[in-house]
Amino acid sequence: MGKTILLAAGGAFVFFLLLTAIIFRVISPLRTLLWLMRNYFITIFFLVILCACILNIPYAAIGFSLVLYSLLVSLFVFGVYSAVESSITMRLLGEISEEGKGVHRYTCDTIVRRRLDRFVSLGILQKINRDTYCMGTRVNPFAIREKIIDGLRYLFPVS
Amino acid sequence: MVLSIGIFIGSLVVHSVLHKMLIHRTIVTLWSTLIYSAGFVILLVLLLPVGDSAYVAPSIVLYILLTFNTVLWYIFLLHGAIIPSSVILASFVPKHTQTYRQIRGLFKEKDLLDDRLEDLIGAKLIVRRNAGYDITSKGKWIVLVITVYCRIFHQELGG
Repeated sequence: MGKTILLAAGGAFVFFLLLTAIIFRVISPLRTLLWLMRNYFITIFFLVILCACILNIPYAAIGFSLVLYSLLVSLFVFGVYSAVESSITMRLLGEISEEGKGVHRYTCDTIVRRRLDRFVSLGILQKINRDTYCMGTRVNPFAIREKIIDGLRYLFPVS
Repeated sequence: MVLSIGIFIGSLVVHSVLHKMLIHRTIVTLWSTLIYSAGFVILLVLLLPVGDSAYVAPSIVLYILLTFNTVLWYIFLLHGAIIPSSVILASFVPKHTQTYRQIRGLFKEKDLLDDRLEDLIGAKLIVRRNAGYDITSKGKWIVLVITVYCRIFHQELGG
């Protein structure tokens, strides 16, 4: 049973990565976060169907696999995807690598515009006119990150 | 599973206490995360006598994944850099509508770019050269890893 749990979690994670690699090729770069969440749930759906209906694995073992799979996805999303998608530090490193000895072209305006475009495409913000924004109606997926940070700041205050 | 989570929570609490003691003496170090190794040893000692149980290996993997996730967030928290997404979204709580100029005014070049460039220099990923910056061999390795990831997932370096 132990091997089955690990294989189910590992298999689900590989399926999630493959699905993400395929879908990221056909969607707008601004909608990757939304699809990352969708892929997470699509994979859970297939994992549960496969394990419960076809392989007849006990529900406790499926639950254990789901926890392990979720932790793997969390490591990927917060450790790899976020670093590439939104880390300013990584972008600066990439810019300096491309430009050689030149001064980087990355500016505060690029950072702010990019985030506003992402929020608008996710429906978190709405663009009223060319330069004015207001809160959108969609649920904010960044709230999850904020909650985790708040919890950790309580446990690990930095000042 | 319960044992893994229990020992992990115990390690987390000890880590939190240790962190607060160190921060009180203005010591910020990643070495404090070694406390999770002690938790891992305790877990192994408690689990090994029941080595034939189906849930031993998944329990060990669960503890490792919980630890990796926590250490990842801990590094993120210690880094202490301003997160532009959080600042932008928080600014929409008191003001429902804002112009681009107002949002842009929330950030200073130094906070977003200069401090991060200093971090990169501190981590020996780039060096100052003439009027600009140059990437080090350590930095080139990180860029190579990111480039491979970007090719697989068809993602552009965001920032």
